[in-house]
Amino acid sequence: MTIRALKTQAVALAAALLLVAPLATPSLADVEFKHALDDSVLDLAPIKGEEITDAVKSFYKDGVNPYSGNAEAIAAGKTLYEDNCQACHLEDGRGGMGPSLIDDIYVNARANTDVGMFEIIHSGASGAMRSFSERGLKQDEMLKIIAYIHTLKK
Amino acid sequence: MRMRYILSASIAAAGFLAMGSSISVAQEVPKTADQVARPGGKLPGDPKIALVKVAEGFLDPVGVASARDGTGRIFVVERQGKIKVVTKDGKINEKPFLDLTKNSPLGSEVQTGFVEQGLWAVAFHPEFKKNGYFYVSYASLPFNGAHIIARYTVDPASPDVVSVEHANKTVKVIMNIPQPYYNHYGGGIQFGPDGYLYIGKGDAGWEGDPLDAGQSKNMLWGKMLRIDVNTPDKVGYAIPDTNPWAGAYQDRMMTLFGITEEGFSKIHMGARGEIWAYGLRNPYSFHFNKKTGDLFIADVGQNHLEEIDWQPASSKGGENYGWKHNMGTNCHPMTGKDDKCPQVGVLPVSQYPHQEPYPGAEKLKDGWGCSVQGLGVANYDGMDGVFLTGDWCSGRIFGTGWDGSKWQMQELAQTALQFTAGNTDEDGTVLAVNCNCFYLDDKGAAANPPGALWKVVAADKVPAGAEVAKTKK
Repeated sequence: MTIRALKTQAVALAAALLLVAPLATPSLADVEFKHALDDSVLDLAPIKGEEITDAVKSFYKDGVNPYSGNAEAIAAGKTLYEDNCQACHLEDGRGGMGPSLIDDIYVNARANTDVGMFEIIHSGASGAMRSFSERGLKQDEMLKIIAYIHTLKK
Repeated sequence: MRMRYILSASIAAAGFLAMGSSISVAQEVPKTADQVARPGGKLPGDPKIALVKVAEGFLDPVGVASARDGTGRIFVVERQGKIKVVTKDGKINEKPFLDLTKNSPLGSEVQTGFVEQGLWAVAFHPEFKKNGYFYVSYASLPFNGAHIIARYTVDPASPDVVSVEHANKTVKVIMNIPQPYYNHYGGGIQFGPDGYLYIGKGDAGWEGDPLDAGQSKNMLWGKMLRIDVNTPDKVGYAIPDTNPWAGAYQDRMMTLFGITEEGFSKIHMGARGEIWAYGLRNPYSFHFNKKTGDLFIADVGQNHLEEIDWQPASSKGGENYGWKHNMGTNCHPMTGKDDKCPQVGVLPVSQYPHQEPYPGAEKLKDGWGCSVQGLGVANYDGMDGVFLTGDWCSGRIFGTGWDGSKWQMQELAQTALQFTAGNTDEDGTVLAVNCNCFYLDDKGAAANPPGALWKVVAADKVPAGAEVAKTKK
């Protein structure tokens, strides 16, 4: 009796959670993505025409970039880097108007992690480091850029 | 007798010393490099500020001004060539106040090909309420990028929209300054407390001032200019006779004897009468302290230092700010932290470094920027004559002010904003605008993600429900 009552309660609770959960947390994210400046939670909603790829979904879950070491993704990342990043960070990432991406000096403590780099590329940091999501870059492309940046480090 | 003399002298000395320790000193231009303020200082009262969003959706806003006509309107300058009106209640009028993109069947009046080009600034005549005159400063497309300053007149029947027809009917070109390169125009314009129009004129470009414009008094580039715009319609402008070299054109006869060397030194053959101050690199943003009449100039630096100059309201002009021999307290070209070279002209009151503060230096993690934008002089919420500047690269806001005995520079916030300009509104509140328009990142003056208009308030006076700019914790 007691056991059955508990079990019923548990089932009811589980059902309630199932009902409530999809409404309360529409995000897939297990990693919490935060703005580099004030730690506010980032809005990762897809931009117009963007599809959240399996690679991005996987990155949301564990913060590990599935494109790391993937030659095809790195080649795509190189092109994207040249289009979007090299003007300020230079072609080899040593930094010009923007900081170096290949030394070990980080203004932002999280910037030496893939999650931190993603946060900054997606939503910007300060001043001239603008949000590349607002400029039309897709999250899948950001992961490819990050995979490429790693190859610049020696 | 002798005794009494010594006694009174020592009393006077004691009195002088007491004054020095207890009474604050009137602010003055630093005489030695160590008197120039750097980040890390403390402004009196340690002000805490926040940026409250007033309106958003402007395309590359690069200028802002109040007409001071009692309407409370704020005019936001869009680089593409439009001026938008923000009403007292924060709404943006759909129709622009002025639209220079459509005033010719051949297309826009404004050259925007490079991010430093475009319509930069608007300034309203001190008697705007009576005469409807306002002045704009821009890179001209028909003149292949030359810098034009022109006057337009508001139609009293249409105070919020100067139609294309009315604009073309009332336009008066004040100045047309040729531009050899596509950068370092300067471009800011402001009326001073003396009623004259001041123009921040860049060194005309490239890098390192290859034309030696800053130090050449026979060129308008690399200067603060001051002109009188209250002239007949057929006369573009006049040179105020109190400008430092207003009479230079009258030098005519050489006399070798009977003139002192000091007398000779006052001859400035061929100097342009429009010049107010010289030795500047790209002083597009400068602001008067409305309370005192003092002038702050934000002079954008080259690779290592950003410089802020100050002159008291009593200045007679003619200051040399040292470019291209010096940038800030250092040499140009800068060779090291403590490089040695003569200090040319007048020192700045404050300066802040780039991430690499001198060649080969270890990169800074804090307190740096790359391009100083003057926002305005704050005289409220505990700030007394504090010049606020925002950095284009690092989003930092630095305040420069006098603490009673020396200059101080304090970082008041680090934001995520790319500042482009500022000004004070009708009641003296400092305004700021930001764009999303960075060099190669520039998608075009009408295609970049929009920017916004902000006002600087005390952190504990943010209105309920207001949107505040992100700041670093």
